[in-house]
Amino acid sequence: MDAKDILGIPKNALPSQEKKSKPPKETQRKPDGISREVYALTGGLAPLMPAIDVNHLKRKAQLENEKITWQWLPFTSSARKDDLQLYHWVRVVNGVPPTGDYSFAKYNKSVDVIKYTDEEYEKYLSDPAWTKEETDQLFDMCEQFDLRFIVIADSVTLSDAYIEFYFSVSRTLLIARAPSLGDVAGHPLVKDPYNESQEKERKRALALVLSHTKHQERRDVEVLAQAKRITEARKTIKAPKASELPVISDIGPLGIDTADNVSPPTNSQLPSSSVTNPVSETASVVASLRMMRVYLRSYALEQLVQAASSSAGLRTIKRVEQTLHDLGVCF
Amino acid sequence: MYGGDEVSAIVVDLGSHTCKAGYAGEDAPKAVFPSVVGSIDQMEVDDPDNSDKNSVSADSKPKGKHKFYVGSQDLGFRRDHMEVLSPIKDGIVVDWDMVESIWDHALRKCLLIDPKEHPMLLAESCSNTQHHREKAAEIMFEKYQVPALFLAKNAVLTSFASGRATSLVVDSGGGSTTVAPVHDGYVIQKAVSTSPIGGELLTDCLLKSLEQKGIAIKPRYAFKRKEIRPGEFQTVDLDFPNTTESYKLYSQRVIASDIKECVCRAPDTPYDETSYSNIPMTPYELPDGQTIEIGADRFKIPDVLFNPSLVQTIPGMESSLETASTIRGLPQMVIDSINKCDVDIRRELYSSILLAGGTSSMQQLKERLEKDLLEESPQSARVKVLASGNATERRFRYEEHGASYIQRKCP
Repeated sequence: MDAKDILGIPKNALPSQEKKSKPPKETQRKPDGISREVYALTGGLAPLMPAIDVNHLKRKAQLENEKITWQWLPFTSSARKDDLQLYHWVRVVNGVPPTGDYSFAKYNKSVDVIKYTDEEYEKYLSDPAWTKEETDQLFDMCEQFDLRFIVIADSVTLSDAYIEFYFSVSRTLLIARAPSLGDVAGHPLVKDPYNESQEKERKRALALVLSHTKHQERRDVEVLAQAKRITEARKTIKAPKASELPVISDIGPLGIDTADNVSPPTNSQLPSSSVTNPVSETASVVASLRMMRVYLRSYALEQLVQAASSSAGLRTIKRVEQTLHDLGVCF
Repeated sequence: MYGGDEVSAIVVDLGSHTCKAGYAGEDAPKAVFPSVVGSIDQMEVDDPDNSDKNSVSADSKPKGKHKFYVGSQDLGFRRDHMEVLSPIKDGIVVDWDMVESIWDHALRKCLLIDPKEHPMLLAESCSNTQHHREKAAEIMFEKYQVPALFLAKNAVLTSFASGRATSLVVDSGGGSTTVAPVHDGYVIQKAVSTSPIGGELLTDCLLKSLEQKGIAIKPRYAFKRKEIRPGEFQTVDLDFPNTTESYKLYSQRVIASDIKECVCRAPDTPYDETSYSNIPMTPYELPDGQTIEIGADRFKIPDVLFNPSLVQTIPGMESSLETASTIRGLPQMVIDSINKCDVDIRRELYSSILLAGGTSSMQQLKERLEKDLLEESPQSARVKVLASGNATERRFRYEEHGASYIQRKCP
């Protein structure tokens, strides 16, 4: 009742205003348990969901007859190899401190790096490219840094293909130690061996994608837009030419990149491989661009990425690479 | 429990400009003071008023020929023949006696603790050498007898404090700017790049620029203000002939640094003389009552971070950066650093760039850096620059899961 006084709304006018004015509606239905002002803090509306369910907050059960004290006591951790003793606050119940290992010791996880003996090294692992010291050092680093290869490469200069070497050694050891091949066939190391060339390709493609800055992207978009305008213009003038585009692109020579002057390669097989790509609209645009001796670098990069990621044959990849090399795209 | 264990560890971060010390797990350090010391050469001077001070205070160190004064209070008091010296050159400690006196001041005078009872976490720069780490450990264990010690790299602490194991930390502090990628808790050393451009250089630029305009900044000790009528003050110059040049410069820098923090902000676009020539001026009242107007310098000084060659346009500063042409601006340093990392983590680095250091709290710096990076970064990478709210708090939120996991071989 007094809420209406405060809000300055006439009491008898309220029933007719129920739909229009929100505040009197809410104060009418103010929930019990909290004061009016506190409820108004929420904006006059109840929250949709409770913010934190109090029942979910764990509370250590304290029975009536228990005496709880907090003491500054020493502790050791099984995660440490020395016997360093530090102090911390401990919840002591009835004079009995809690037992068990240090609660954070369970987080001390590490990777299982295979260790080999000298005889095993002699028998299975001697490699012309790696000396015993280098192999030992590699495995020590792998153990110390938990197989974080990026960090390992940063700390020590290693020969190339060290990742492949590590995995092949581990795999060899695993197979050699197993009683029969069938036992370890399911092990991930045996099932999916590390594929160096695939990794190299993937990284190269990724580097290319990442080297493409927004600057270049914008330039390419501009060039494409311009090309489209020109195509439209040409289409209206020479309509029959449009149907001949696929044929022309097969035999037409590749053009010069707008950005730099490179001699056009004679590889006329590339247009066929690019036209077979399913992007039909851009293919026709690009084909017409080629007529005007314009070649987009970004399109070539897309080609390379698609070629690398798709299961296109090695020949296609080689052709693409050859073209890019001739155009002077270095990576 | 918020995820850590309270072993009452102490964190000490001795930077080139300020020293920060406090308890692990707290939001901000308890002790923050300049990491320079006032030094009086004992052989030269017989200073009567110092002797009774020094017999009681623990922070002045009569060792050999020098007496050190540490902390803003002691440094703020002018003393005859007191030189202001820094123990750190190019990010590396060169004078261990001074460092000891600074640590003494922090632990015994500011935090009021006994180091024997507290595991210690020392923050070190990413390019700290093995020799320096051993020396620091030696002092800590032998002189202070700490129960446990861990040396952590600044960049890693900043990264963990923001909840990330992988990030690119841009630490723009007093003496220098360092860009260091952190991957899974380890700094990628080969990709770390440093630049000598830091807050102190910006302060010096401002100082020289004001001098050139005829504005002389009077250090606080060089005048006193008398109230001749209610509300009206008259400034009287005081002369102290035995004040050292280094102390005068230090006092002027303190004032210039305050001006820089108050009025300077990073411009949205690269600075050029013509477009900023008609900018409205901002007034600032110096301690001696003089009010000065600062216009284009507000934007020119911070832009030195992005365009180091601007330093050469400030008269008096031409020689301070010897190879200014080879020093890169901040966005370029970030991109170079990321490109030196393995290609697999580059995307993640681009999307978690952390700003740290006093200078990074300059207004609009984050926005300007983000804008510049969006221009030069790859199309497919999402660029995100993050800054903590408070520059000094970042490392102290790092709750080490037990100084109990202190490794003897600190990575």
